[in-house]
Amino acid sequence: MICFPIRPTRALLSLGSLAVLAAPAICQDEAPVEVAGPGEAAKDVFHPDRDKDAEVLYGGRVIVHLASLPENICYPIENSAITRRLLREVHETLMIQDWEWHDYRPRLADSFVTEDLVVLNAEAAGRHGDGTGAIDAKVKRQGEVAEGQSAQKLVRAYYGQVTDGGDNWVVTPASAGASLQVAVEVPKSDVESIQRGAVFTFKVREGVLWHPSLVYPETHPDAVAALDGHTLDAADVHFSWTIYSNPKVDCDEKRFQFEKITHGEIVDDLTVRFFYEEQYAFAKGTIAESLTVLPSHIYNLADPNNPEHDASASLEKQAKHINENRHNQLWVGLGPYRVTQWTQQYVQAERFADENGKCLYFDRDNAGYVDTIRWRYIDDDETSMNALLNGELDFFERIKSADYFGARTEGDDFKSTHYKGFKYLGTYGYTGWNLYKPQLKDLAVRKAISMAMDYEAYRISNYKGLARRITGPFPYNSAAYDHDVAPLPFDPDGAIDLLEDAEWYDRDGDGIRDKDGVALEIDFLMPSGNDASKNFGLKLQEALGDLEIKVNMVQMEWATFLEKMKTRQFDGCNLAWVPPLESDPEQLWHSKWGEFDARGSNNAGVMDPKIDELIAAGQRELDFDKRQAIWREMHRYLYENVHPYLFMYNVPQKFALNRRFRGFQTLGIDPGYVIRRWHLWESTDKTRATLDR
Amino acid sequence: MLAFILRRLLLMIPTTLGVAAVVFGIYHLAPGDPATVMMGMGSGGQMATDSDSASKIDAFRIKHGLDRNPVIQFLDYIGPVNLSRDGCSLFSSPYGERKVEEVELPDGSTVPEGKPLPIAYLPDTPEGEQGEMEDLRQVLLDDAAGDAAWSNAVSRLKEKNKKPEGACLPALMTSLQELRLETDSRSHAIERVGDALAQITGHELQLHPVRLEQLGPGALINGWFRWYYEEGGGGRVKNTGENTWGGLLCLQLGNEMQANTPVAAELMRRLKVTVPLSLVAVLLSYLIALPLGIFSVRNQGTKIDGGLTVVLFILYSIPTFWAGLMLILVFGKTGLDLLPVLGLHDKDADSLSGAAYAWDVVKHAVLPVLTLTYGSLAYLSRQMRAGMLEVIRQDYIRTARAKGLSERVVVYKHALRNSMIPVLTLLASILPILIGGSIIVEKVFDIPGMGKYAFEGLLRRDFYIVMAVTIFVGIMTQVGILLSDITYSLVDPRIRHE
Repeated sequence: MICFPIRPTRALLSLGSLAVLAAPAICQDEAPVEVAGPGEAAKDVFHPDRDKDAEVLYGGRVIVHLASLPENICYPIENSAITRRLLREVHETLMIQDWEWHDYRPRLADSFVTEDLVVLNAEAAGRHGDGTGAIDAKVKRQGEVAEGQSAQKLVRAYYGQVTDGGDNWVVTPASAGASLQVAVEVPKSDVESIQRGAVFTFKVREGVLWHPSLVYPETHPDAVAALDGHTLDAADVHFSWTIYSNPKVDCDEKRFQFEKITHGEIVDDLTVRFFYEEQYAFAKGTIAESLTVLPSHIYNLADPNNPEHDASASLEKQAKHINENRHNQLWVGLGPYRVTQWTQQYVQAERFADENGKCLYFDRDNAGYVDTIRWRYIDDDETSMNALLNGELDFFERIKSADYFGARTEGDDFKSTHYKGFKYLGTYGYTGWNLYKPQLKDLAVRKAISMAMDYEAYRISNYKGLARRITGPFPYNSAAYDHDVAPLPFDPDGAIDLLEDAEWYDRDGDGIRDKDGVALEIDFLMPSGNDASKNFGLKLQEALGDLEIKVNMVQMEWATFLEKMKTRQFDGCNLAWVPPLESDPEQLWHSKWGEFDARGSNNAGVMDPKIDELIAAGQRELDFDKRQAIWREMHRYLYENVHPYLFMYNVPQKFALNRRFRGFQTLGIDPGYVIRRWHLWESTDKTRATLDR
Repeated sequence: MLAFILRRLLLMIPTTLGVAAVVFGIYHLAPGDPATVMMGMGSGGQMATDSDSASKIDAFRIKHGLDRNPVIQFLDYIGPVNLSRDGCSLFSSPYGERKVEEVELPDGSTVPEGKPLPIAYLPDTPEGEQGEMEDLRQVLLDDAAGDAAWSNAVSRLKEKNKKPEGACLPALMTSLQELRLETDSRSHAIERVGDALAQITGHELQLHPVRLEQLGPGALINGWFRWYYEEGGGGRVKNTGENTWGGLLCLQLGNEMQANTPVAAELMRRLKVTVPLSLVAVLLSYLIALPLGIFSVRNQGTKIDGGLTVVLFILYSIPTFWAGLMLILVFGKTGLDLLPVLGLHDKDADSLSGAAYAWDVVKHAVLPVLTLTYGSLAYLSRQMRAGMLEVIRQDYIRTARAKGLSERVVVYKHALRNSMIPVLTLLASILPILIGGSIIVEKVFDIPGMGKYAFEGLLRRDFYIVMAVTIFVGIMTQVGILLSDITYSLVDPRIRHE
């Protein structure tokens, strides 16, 4: 599971100052939105003129706020959520998870075929030699892997579409250039395992143009002409995968994902095939969306078309060429927009068009409406808010609640230029309990805490009812979230019963419950300067005080906070996760990251065999619906039997967008909107009716 | 005078080193480390799975030498001898991660083993030697190569190994490290590389039978790594000697940890933003404060003086961040809509011509300069007033008045120079402010200057930024003090620096 731990910034959670106000009816002039699960997303639900017909106009510029400026946008080496957001507009992936329907749809890929891998056992390997269509393949070693032993092993295997033929498995070749020419029957006794869906063959679209380089005209003016009109091919895709096996490339954070692809081969100019080490639910997503397709003629020194071509370049030199390439900022991509400026203040992308203004992007229906996107970097949220109010930003999505409901966005000045709304991603706030602490080891204690406070009232008073109370780790909008799991009720008496049943009494008369000499005292760790955490902590402190549980508020600066969390030196930590729509829960919940010394994201230290089992089952389940059922089971089990977190709220992001733009949709996939669907609707000298200028 | 300046300049060297030592000490004592921060940089960061984040953190530590002894780190930073991996060949230091571990056996006893790591094959071998080394290495790895080819390759490697530049151990260890992923299928190759190592080094490897049974050829790999770390010299950083000199004393400030770009270049870019702004602000505050102070003295005790005092005290008490926000509210689109309130350039500044561009910058600079000015202005004019009031009570002023000189001559000729001393003392503190920029003002107005840089560096725990900025400000403070000492003697003839 790839998660974005975010420091619950004020923009996200700071709603405390409003706690004293009564909750007014929310946004009278705004339609309520409920984005949950796949389905068509309505447009402009918050736009005050949503009932007016909007002409779809091309042209213009949109300025979008950026809270942090990445070093570059070469995603393999700059692994940040922001990088990915930028690439969404200036680049394309082989496939993309549909924004509204959440299934994978081809983008750069013209078509793709998934095949199964039939792994032969060691005894049978000799009978399936060369010429039989069997291949050498690496697969994941099953069972316990001894220290020093590799996690993959070399086997003989067939690939194709596998059907059951009684005593035999029938393997039928399904992809172009497959090793098998005709279907073969493999005796079941020869087969060690079948890894379903482990072989992927992609055929990329023909004639997809790469953006021209802005760097080479400066450094290699003679070579530029040869680069003109370069199109995407299978070699680009293959090269993009090979960089992960060069140890000198700064892609350590991604390497593990791609080490699972054991082999890649170029079948023909446009076709490329990848072998995965095992049947894995997220394999397709990894290849289709996580693999950043790099232009071989820019990044590959061995490519004769590269102006800096060097056939004998060492791994080190090749890696350096990738790590320190100026194109990492002035990106050469395949998207409808190309990066034209990169400064300390902003990144600007302009429509990918020829000198006559004709769009060169391959998919004209998806080429975006505005001509220029500028991502304006302002790190401070207060400064950004001022920038919004002063017309420096068209779009800002970190509005504090105080501002969202307050005078700054209620005035006519603001309303004449912008409108506001909110959107939900999977983001959820939680307080994680350190299960290694004696006072929190007890499930009864953790459940009692969840019953001690009126979280529903807090949701209404503090979040104006906008936040959604959650009970599990999966995104509220996703099919993996089990909406039938009811949160524990607000029941202080029940909580006291729970504690007393578990033998937590105040034995020494200091007003704090204790057991076996351990006092029920909890340090509530939170990032300093975070009002939301503080307000919540204070409420919790008060509520738990009534239960004779002592809560100490501990504020830590972010870097220190992270260190305390990583080294498990905390009792409870208040934080937020931003999980993608669907992801592998292993990193957060598997026992192997719950070991005391493991430096993972399982910061509660959950070590539960049932959870491990469910994770393993989900990882191998290729069927979407069945997999979601497994995740829902895990959700329920986690809440009812482990209760490692005080699951808090799914808090919406509050945004403002300039009224000049129409076509805004709130979507469940990060970042929750697609800029290329926004368009101007009131004509000016910068707008036009057609895509081409 | 010259001797005085020279002496003071020389004194600045140990003082600066002291500053560096103190900052370094605080940096190391403070909790949090740059690698962890990098793994979870707010919403801009992303945490991948554990295995991967742990290895990333390790790689980061090794890359920046954070795995080494803090004293070595400090000496490396200060210089002049470069102690990092490509530094002076006379100095080597242990690789923090290349450790031999005791592995527990089922019977409870332990055996030492080395963990296979990607060995720094290339940096340890000169460019010219790499090609052939790689070829020979491949012969050993090639299962199909015959015995003759193998012994030939081994004797070539042995020959090369006699010379330091031909040291082939890193290359062979690299081979072993690669083979560890295929211990089952490549056991033959592993044995051949092991045999080659035995022949070249003359070392006979003793392996524990239990481990051999558990790991098979993997035990051989771990065994050779143990030997390499402990006896083969692979446990220490062997500097290439490419960059013998380096560090602060060689005026090298290092690279930013995350971006890997030179700190000095970024520092220069930030200074270009901060210095003009601060310079204008300081000049303005002196130009306004001094006449204002004199005016107060000349009208001492009047209602105007009283009113001025009240206003200046109020100004002095207003916190900068509040004043900045109020100015934005009043002058921005939310108020009078008179001035741009963010950054130093308009969003369409690219399309502006020379004069319009300059005017755009001036307009953008008004509010930040105002915010930077008002506080010091109030303070300075109070100081000026106090200084002058003291001087004006002196005997020689009474004498001057007694001589019948006009009040103007008394004040501007006789009193002014002497009352400047306290104000000049303040100059010493103004220079570092000038350079250090104002974190708050830069944040409020979104100006990418020095103050913001220092703040970002601190949050990221970027050692090089923090050190560079604090040392820079430290030096500027000393220069400021020196300058004010020199100007003393210019305004006060009684002060002589001999």
